[in-house]
Amino acid sequence: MLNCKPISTLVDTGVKLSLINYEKEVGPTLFKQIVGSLRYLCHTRPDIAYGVGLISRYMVKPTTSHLIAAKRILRYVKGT
Amino acid sequence: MILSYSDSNWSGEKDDRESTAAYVFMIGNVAFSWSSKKESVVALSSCETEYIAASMEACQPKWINMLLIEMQLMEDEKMELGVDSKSAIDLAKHLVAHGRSKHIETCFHFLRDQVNKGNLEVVHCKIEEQVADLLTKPLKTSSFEYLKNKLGMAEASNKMN
Repeated sequence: MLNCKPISTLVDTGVKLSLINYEKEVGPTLFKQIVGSLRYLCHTRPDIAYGVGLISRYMVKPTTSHLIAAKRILRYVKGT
Repeated sequence: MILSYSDSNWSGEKDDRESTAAYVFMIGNVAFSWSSKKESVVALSSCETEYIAASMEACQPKWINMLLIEMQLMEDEKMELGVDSKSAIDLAKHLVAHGRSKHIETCFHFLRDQVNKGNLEVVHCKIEEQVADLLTKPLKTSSFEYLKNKLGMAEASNKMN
């Protein structure tokens, strides 16, 4: 993620995330680590509060689209 | 002077149709207390979800008030809550229970109680000035940047100059 391209907003307006979908599951450990780190960042940054709250809802069974959403927040953080 | 805003996104969640509620408290241009949470109950109308968001927000000013008085930064004064839904404001001001609002859970009427006692005042704020919007829904780049500035956040590079 160190060489990723920065982005100006942290949540994609066109994608509706859902708990149940038929995409490939991703490892929950990495996902939880990302969410945990971003939650810590939330203490000082109100702008990412919504996006982080959103991805926190999918920690039980994260799939590809959830991980893409999480990585998008990381890209946003890199750009600011 | 403390300003506060609350907003919500009705049925924002695809799976269980619960709404997202958010509030922001600001001193001058700087946000110092904020929250963005999924509401614990399903709201039947956008008015109801705004009302729930405002009542979540209503718990905070009392504590902030006591803290600021203790620190001798402020006299005891009425705080204003900025809400962008006219019907939610009316619901907070007047004791009405008609078909569409009688089912709202008791704990959320804390807001109405505080307004009636004169501790809080609910004021209307324009949708463009509603900074809590940023904490409830995905936004386009232009409005996102605008509201982020209003929250008192600056780019790291701008700060250097």
